[in-house]
Amino acid sequence: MFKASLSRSVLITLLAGLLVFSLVVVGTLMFKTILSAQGRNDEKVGGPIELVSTRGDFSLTDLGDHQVAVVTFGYTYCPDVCPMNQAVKKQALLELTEEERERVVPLMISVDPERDSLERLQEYTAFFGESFIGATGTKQQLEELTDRYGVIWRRVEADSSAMGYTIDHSASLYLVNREGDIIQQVLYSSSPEGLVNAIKDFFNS
Amino acid sequence: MLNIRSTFLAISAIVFSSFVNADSLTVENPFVREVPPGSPATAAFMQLYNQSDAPVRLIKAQNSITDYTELHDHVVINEVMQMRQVDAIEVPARGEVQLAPGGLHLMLIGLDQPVKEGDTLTFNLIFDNGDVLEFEAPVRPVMPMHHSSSSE
Ligand SMILES: [Cu+2]
Repeated sequence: MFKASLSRSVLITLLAGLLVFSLVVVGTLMFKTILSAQGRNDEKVGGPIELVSTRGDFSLTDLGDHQVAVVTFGYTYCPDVCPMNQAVKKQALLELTEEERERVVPLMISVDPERDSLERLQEYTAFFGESFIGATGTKQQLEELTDRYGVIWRRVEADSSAMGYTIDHSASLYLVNREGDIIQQVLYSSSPEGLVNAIKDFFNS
Repeated sequence: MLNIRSTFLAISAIVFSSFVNADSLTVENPFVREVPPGSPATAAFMQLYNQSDAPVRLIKAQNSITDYTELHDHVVINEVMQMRQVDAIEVPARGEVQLAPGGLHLMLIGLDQPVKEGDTLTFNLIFDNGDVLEFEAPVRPVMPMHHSSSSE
């Protein structure tokens, strides 16, 4: 009797221990999966881009079958990377034939919707060419979209600066087709070469 | 506003000109980046040289067209561009510091109208040893590095 109850309590303790252990294991695995999906760039699924833009409502599905969007993320306060990215797109377009050029849609997505109105984005993007589109969205829309694209951006308070805040943001260019597949991520460069090659690769595939 | 600014620049130029040690600090290749209309800010780049035997820190800057001229740095970590204000930019003794795209720059905040190629801005840089550098800087367009490929 005594022995039986002892072995039963041992069994219960063992079972409880096993339960805790497996919970910890499962929990850790889940946590790691969430972490890698959020923070890492290796889970880029791309997907739809549907935002208000300088052309009205923008959707990747408006692209033709043979077209590709060159997407960058930024904000108009950015004095360096963002204008350079647009200038690189412009230069890349100049290095294509006219027929090729019509198949490229340059898109800048502002991750500063608080300050970047569509009017401001219109002035900004038009400077680089007629085909340039500026788009933005609500904070929620942008967070959901950038998560899918593996794009990192965050608002950083800058109290002592006249800017009030700056925005850290991924500087890469993304080649995306109408289905929202990320054809290629081109790393930031002040040379258009990588972008030109990526576009030509897409056209030749 | 512009009047106040230009008056201020003129006064500070007069006040400080007697203190300028023309030999110790010099500037080369200053330029302001042309930015698209709609940009509220732009950046200025240059090289600063210090011929003296002591390090000198740039602590304040002014320009002729915007209310704010801040000292900023850029760092890129894992393709993420981060811009930060800094308190000072040190020019090492008998050395130089580069303010260049992708790194340190003067941040000109509060553009009322776009700066265009052909425009010239006046700058005053104030250093912790009391030196002031006054100079003009042209506006230059954003130029991607030239792509030497088959297409030409
Ligand atoms: Cu800056």
